[in-house]
Amino acid sequence: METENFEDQLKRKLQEREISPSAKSWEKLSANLDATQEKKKPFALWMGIAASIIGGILILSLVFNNTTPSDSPEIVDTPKEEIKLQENPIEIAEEIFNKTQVEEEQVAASEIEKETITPTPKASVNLIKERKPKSREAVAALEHNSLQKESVIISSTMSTNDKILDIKLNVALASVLTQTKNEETITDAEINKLLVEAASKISRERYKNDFAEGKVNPQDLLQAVEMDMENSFREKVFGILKDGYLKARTAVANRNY
Amino acid sequence: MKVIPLFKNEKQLIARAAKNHRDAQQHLYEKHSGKMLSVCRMYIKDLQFAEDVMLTGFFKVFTHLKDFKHEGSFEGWVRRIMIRESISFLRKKNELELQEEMETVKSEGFDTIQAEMDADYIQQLIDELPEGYKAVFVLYAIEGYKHTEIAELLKISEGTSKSQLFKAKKMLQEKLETLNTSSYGN
Repeated sequence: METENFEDQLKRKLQEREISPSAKSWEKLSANLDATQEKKKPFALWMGIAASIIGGILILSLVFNNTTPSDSPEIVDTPKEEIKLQENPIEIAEEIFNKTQVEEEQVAASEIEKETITPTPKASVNLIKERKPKSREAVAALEHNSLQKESVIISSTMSTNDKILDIKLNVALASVLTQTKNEETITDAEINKLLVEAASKISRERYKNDFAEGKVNPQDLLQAVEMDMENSFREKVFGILKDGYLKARTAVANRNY
Repeated sequence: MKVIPLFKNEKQLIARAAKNHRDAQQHLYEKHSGKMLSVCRMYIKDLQFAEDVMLTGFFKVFTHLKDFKHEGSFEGWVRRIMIRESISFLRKKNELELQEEMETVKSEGFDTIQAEMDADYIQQLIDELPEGYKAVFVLYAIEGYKHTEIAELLKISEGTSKSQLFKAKKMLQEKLETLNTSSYGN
């Protein structure tokens, strides 16, 4: 019987040999493996946090992008409107200036006419004087009537189509005339002052009329509505926050009951 | 019939262990730890150190399990990791003192020794060898490494590996002869 070579015997015996490790050896290894996985966890945690932050930013940007497109064209338009609004007053002022010039001319013309017409009130006064009225009030009333007549005559002589302008001019002229009657003298500066007042009133009236006729730019109205909407949204948010706060407060207050 | 399901099972176990499933890792550990501790014990005399080295080896096995390509046997792959870990341990402990010797060595085998020995006794004989001789002897005689592989692994020349093996064998033979004479002398 051939015996096994010593080297082969060595090899076989040692290769087949098993030495059972200590009872807690697996626990040691498992703990080491856990430790390395825990080391990796913070990295994963940070990655998760970073991802959630980026996600939140994306969602917020999407939300704001959804609201802004409807607003953005209006925002683009608003500067133009502002320019228009700024331009309009200039135009209005130019118009007013031109009109005041026209009015001045008209007033000058009316004064000329007045000079021609004045004999009639004087005549009426003379008539009153002749009739010898008992009180000054009666004279004043008569004078006022005569002045009204004069203003009617003046207004009839004017060839302007703008009724508002006519009325205002009449009022201005009436005041001028009363002053001339009462004080006898009136300066050009005072006349101009009254005319400017009248012109500003006219422009205001016209602006109101434009509003009524719908000549006002609709963008103005839209912007105003938008402002209202923004306010309402803000109010809603504040309302929600307030509700939440109140709920939390009651919950905290009632936690012991 | 049984080999294929077992292989499949080990493959599945390895796949699960690679995904850090503790149950699969424990299963693999329990299956191979006995043999792997034996491998480490061949190089390291102290059993506690040998176990520590084995645990380090298994830690590397499980953390690098994705690198295992199923090209050879799993046991062979784990075994190689254990051998490298053991040698690395010896090197750290400065126990792996290998003198560069270029003397020509006759590739001599052991004389026919008829003695029947158990593994513990063989281990005891190996333990008595100097660390350098021991590593070369175990790698060559037990693991079946070639001198070129041993030279590369231990970072020595091939000639040194051969001379170390020769000396280890000579020393072992002397020990066995003394054993034989003492046992037969009774």
